[in-house]
Amino acid sequence: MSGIVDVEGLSLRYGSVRALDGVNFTLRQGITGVLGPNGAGKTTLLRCLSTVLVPDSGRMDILGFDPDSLTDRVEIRRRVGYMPQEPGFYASFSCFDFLDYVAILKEHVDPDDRHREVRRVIEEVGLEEKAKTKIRKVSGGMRRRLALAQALIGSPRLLLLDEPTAGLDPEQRFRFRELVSELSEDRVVLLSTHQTEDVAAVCDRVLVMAGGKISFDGPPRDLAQLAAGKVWLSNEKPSAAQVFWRTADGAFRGVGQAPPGSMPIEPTIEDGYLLLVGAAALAEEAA
Amino acid sequence: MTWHLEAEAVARYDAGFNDRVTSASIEAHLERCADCRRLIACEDDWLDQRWEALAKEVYKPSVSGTEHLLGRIGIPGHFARLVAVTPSLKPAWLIALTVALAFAGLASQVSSGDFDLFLAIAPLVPVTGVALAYGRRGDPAHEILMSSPLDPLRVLFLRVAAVTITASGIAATVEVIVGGRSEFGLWLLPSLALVVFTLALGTRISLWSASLIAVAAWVTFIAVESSRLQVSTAGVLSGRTQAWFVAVAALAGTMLLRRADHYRRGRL
Repeated sequence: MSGIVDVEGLSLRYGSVRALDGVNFTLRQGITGVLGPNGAGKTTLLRCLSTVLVPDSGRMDILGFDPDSLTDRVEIRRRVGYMPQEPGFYASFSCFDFLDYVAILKEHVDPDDRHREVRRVIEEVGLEEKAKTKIRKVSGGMRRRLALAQALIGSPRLLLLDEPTAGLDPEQRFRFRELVSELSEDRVVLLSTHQTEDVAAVCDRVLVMAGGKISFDGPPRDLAQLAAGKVWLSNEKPSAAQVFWRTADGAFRGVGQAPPGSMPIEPTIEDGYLLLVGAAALAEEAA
Repeated sequence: MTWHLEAEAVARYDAGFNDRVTSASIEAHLERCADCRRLIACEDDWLDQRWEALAKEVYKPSVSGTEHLLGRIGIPGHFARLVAVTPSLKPAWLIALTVALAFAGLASQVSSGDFDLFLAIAPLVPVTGVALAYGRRGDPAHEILMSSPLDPLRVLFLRVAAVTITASGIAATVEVIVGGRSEFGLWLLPSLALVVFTLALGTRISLWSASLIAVAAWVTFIAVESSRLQVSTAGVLSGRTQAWFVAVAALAGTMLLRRADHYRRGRL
């Protein structure tokens, strides 16, 4: 393996819970989505890659550096932009002031260079109008942009985005996807999500996680093809289906072993994902 | 759009020969017409510089009272901002100050040799209090800090310095007002001296190594002085000895500031 990120046998436990269980993958250019229900291990994986968490076992090579080494860990942090799932802000700070503080944490010491860098990331995420506004007064969508802006300080080669579209309305999600797509032109992006639409919209590769393991690794269309011949519509509740739900026009959409005589329909990424992850994912989608 | 600029009008505009009304008319047209804008000579460097200067004026960080004050005594802006964040996180700030003052009050009451071990580890109490107060729950941006190249330990020590200096000031003020003689504010000085010493040394070697040296120096000092003076740890840490910690803190603080222009990456 010789990708931008190589991960081998990564494991981590929280007490009796196995959050990561022998995770292996290699990351190359483009946008890779990590899809999975809550508790699948997505956030833990991103925290390990951002060096916030130290795994119990396994090996990581991030941009050619070994996070087990103290000096390499600093080099990784200089080259990785991390947007946590629930980024906390200093509510009494303006967006500019908060980014200025993060820029200092990222070793931008010279004030002119630092302020130029802050202006650059503000422009990159389209936060100009709110730059001087106190964080407590900006909307959830703008806070997400602010969280992304702090991750972009220093032009990191690798961007780790944890649930970047969570809590956004459809228009904000669309704009965010557009932004992430633009950012991926000269960066490697790994984004975790439990929204199959995000993966379908921007990712050229998807890792599906469940129970701390990777259960699928491939392009989104291959994930959809896992459900080929296993998705059908019926007028009655399909008892044979692994998961099913009622669609807007009143028919039941079943995913699983299709009963004899049913007419298979074109599967989506969501169908493939549901087939892999099962009812837990469906419950989460409904929530 | 019914008309475009002719070559002669462009040349006169470029040379600044038009009257104000004609220039205003041309500029109104240029705002809407990208084709004509391309005909106008533009000095990109000049424009970039002007735009940069404008952006610097419009988008610049606000400077808090604490940062202003720190700047007045020669502390660099980035350093001052890191320190100034400490009191801005009010719940954590109040908890850390309370722990520091409570510790100082307790330590000033201890004069028996039975508490030697407590006093030997005393400088760690304010550090632990700050670490707990500004942990995951106290600092909303904790995860961002933990993923940053700047050593989180350095930020912790800066916060300890901010808390112990403030707590010492409060304690000294209270003593002056009530006329007490317990000198309990002085009991924060070992912690302050060791933290500033570690930060100063940490500009030359790794902060972890500097921390180990500081702890070793402290333990050695306690052992040697109590043996030499034939007194308990409490005796070593009497009010008179505390003056040495003021000197160490002042010297290390001066060293730290003198290194301000030489901060290496990651060694702010």
